[in-house]
Amino acid sequence: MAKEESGDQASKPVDAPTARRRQDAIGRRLRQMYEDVVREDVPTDFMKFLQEADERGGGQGQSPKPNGGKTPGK
Amino acid sequence: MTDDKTFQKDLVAAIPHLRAFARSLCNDPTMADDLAQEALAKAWKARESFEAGTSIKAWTFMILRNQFYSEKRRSWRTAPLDVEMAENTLLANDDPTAPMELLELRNALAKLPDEQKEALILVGAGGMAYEEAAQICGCAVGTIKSRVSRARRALEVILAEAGSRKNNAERDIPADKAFDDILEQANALAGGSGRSRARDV
Repeated sequence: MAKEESGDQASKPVDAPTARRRQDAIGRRLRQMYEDVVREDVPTDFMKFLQEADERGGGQGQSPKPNGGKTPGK
Repeated sequence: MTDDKTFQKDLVAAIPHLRAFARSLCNDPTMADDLAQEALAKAWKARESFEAGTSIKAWTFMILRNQFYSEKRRSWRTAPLDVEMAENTLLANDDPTAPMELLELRNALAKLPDEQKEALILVGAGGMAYEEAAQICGCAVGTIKSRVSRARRALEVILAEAGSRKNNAERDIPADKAFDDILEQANALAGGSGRSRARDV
């Protein structure tokens, strides 16, 4: 919200190795942020939903799976 | 029939990525999961239009993204990142070493324009190819490349400022040193839980 971009300290140009090092760190953290969520157990809601989708969507005589692929609880 | 089963299996396999993408787009984990579930529902309904052999992950991301922006237009979906809530989210993570620095990253991401943010999330966080990200965002590959690079530079500036502000409040340290402090934490992390993971990405 506060659009105060670039305090002069922060926007001060840095040398290439420093910039690369910073970008490496940012890259690592970005992947970590994403991977942390990928590794979480999928809430069972998601599976319930697919099960319902299966029942509703598969109107061609296929029977829904009795178990919608439960994730292991915590 | 079998196709539906295969499709469903692939769809289920994409769920963790859908959640991660959604979580990066809107900061509130509950809203993110709602969004991901809605995208799943749409994907399931639209399964006839999925082209076999193409990436189901990219396809579902496209659906989620459209969903996100259409709802964002309607109401407002992204909560401004509430620090306390974000801390709780991190604490709720089973990972006891969940680093607070991720909060800073999310904060910084939230300040980026949407199109830069999503490009960086797809490529930099999700590890997608530029071509795939371009397809998801419906723009040229060159556009994605430039958005990613602008996003990276902007993040660097925002994080350096954040580091400087924090450290000025606590001690008297120039911005560059502050950023390096953050970096050291990141490197320590990479040396621990991060490293093995980095290899299989």
